[in-house]
Amino acid sequence: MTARLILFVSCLVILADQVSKEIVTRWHVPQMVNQGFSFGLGAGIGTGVLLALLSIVILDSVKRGLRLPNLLIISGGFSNVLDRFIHGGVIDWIRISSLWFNFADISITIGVVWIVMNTGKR
Amino acid sequence: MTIPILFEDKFLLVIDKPAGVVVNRSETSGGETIQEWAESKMTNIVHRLDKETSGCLIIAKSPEAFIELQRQFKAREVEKEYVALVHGRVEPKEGIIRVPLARSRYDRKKFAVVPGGRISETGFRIESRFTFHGLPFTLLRLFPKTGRTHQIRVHLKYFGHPIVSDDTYAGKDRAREDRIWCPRMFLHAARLRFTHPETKKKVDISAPIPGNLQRVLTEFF
Repeated sequence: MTARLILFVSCLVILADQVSKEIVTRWHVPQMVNQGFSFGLGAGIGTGVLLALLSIVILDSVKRGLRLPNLLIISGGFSNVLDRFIHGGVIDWIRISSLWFNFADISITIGVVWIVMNTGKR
Repeated sequence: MTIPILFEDKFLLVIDKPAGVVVNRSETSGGETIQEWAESKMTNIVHRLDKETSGCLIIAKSPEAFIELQRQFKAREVEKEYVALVHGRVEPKEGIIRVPLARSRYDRKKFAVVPGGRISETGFRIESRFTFHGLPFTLLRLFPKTGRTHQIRVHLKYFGHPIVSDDTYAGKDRAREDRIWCPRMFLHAARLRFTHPETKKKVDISAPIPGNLQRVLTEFF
């Protein structure tokens, strides 16, 4: 994957997420500022185990050259971290039932599903 | 009407409003209201609480104190803290709900999240989680930044976690089932922090959780 493509995908994810959050805030679209973890993950032992497993899977996928899904995860994660500095918490504005999320979470989910579906393939 | 007084001096008093007592007099409200009680003492109610909500309510004893306290509420300088028991397992542990609110188009007695409505904001923090008869419940601390009518009740309903025994927003069937074990809406104005209109010192008043709500927590959870 070329450096230009990496830059393009990262900018696209971060820009789409940040612009959407800015619009949501300005236009008073219903939103929830999540001051905990994404997708309701707490700071318990379960979360630690989950993050450790995820790190192993990601490292393995990097070895196998699956860079794009990792980029989706890192860009989405970076954009959500950025929210904590800009808005004091992650702005979730897309709602399905009682689950709130944003573009960055969608990017992370696509990346994770992509990697998981390719786990075990050589 | 016997009203517990939490704080009193020459300029203001803070009462512990009992649940079921109406604050402002209206054509539909029967029985004695807090407004009549306050007027009999030549005082003025500064803000409002819903009929079913209990807890801290400020009453001014002079026009100057009334104007200054209303200014503090309008400028969102008063820090308000509520306690509520809600249906479901609330996630995340801490956050802020921001939605536009207006009177419902379908039921004029209700308020709802309406595009173009007045902006409203409530902070929340999870106090504890419970399971009762296999159903999840969450005890929340709530910090409303704005003071729209029914704000906390509508926010929690929209969030997917209506307040226990809330006849208006939890759904009639669900509220009826709730009232078997919780006799009133589980929403209590637990704390108020504001600047004293005369001394300019910070006043911090807490109202203990009423006996009927405390019993629900100790007996069922």
